[in-house]
Amino acid sequence: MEVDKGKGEAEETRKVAEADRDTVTLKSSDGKLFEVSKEAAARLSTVLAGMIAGGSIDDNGTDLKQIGSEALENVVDYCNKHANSIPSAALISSSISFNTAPFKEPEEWERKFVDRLSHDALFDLVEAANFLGMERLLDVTCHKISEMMKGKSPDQIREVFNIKNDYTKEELEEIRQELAWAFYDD
Amino acid sequence: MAEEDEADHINKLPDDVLVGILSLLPYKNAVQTSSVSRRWEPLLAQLPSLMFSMSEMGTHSEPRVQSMERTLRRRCRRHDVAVQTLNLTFRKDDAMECRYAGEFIALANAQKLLVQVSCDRALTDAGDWSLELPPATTELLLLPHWYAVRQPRIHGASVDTLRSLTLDGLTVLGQEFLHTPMPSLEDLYIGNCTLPVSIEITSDAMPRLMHLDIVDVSVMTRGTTKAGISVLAGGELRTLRMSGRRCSSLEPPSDTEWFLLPASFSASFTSYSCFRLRAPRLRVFEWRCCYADEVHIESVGLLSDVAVEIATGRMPRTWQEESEFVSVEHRDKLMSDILLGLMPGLRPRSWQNRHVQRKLQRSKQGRKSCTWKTRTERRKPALRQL
Repeated sequence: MEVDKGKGEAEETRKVAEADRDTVTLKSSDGKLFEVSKEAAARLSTVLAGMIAGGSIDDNGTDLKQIGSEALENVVDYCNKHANSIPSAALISSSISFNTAPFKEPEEWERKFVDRLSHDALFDLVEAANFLGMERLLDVTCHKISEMMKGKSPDQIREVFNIKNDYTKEELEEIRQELAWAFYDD
Repeated sequence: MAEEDEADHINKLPDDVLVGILSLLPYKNAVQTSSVSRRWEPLLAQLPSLMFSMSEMGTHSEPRVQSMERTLRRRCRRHDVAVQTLNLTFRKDDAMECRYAGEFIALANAQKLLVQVSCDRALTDAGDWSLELPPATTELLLLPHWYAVRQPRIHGASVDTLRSLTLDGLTVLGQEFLHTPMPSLEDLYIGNCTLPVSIEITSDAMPRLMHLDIVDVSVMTRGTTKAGISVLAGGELRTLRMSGRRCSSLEPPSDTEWFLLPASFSASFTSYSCFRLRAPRLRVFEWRCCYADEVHIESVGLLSDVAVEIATGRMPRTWQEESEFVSVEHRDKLMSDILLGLMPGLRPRSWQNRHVQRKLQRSKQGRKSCTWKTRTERRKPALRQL
């Protein structure tokens, strides 16, 4: 699977001449190295763009202590896939023409990309995307989570996402009264 | 895996990400979801877009609307997070809902206001009403659900600063609405309305209008109504798009669509009595599947984009209407009236010829060469100048 590509490539391309590199090396919290296209990283992540522009990219692996290797692998994988997908150009141009761009539906490959993730991996990826300022990846992952919530009752949502109900029975009843209109059946 | 670890998942996400997730849900669903735990409840007050449907599937109850009001009041306690969008649906023929609607609109003070108004379908006139715009509103979308719903008299703090207005829905559009002075209005979209009389859009009412879209606007079928459209714009109007989408398809509508066309109010195929245009700095002109007995284009600017699409043949109609045909002569007259209006110096020698394909080089400064094709044997000839 393509998932493993990031790692393998990382090992090989690290040996490429330091000067004039068109990739950057990122290091996860557990010390694994990943290679990602400089152009894609700068385009998709405001934080990485800032680091590249500010020269704070370490050729031996820029430390991203907040991101585990699995999440970082997914980030790198997303960047590579995004760079290869043709409609990405359309995506960029359309976001320019509608400057208050509303959320744009995930494309087919983005949907597949998040669909194959486990719960753990999905939430780790949301965190990583949020940390790295990757707006599109954040949108796509949040969209996936909202899809998982859509049409579910609060009880079902607590169960799916392991949210602890910290209300008393009375409080809960009061809230339901307060928000009664939203609990009406259609 | 231990349950404690699993519980970590969604709770470790920061508030703004959770707000982002909630705002992707339908509002009602998001409101329900906010009751999952103490941490989630306050997030409700940060959602940018609110949607309240007072009458849903025939439900009608004041306690329900009051509960919406409480939700809205809670939302508005967070003054630091302005409401971006309020989408409100209510019934015009229900005094209770109308009363609350005004209050909701004022409370939310949304930047973008969507007002969806329905009424009993047996009604033919739901009466006058007015809409007070709150100070923050710059974008208004009026979406009437039935012909009996008139356009409101728009007033209030932000009429003078309103930038964008959409009137889209089944409604009978009178001239009065378009005479409302809206000095800052830049975008006007009129869709799906039906005209009992001619309308005019003028620079007196909308001096700063830049973009005008008139989409699927038909003429009432009652009696022998004849109605035209005049656009007498000031120097700001840049784009004008007229289109009748229903007729732009080569396929006839399905049986269901025939059935749904409300024949007494709206015609499926419309020919305006007259179309008049004055827009001295117009740059984009689009005319798709619209018909007019007469076209008078007095002035346009240096055009950068033109599309004209008209068809001949039998036109879609509702079952009460007589068949309408657009003859080759009618189409050619319309096409040449439009072209001559847009390019006053035009003198094509072989205008009437079949299979005409010409290239026209215009020497005037700034104008590029343009190409047009007319193929009279085709049902839908098209002209484009890019």
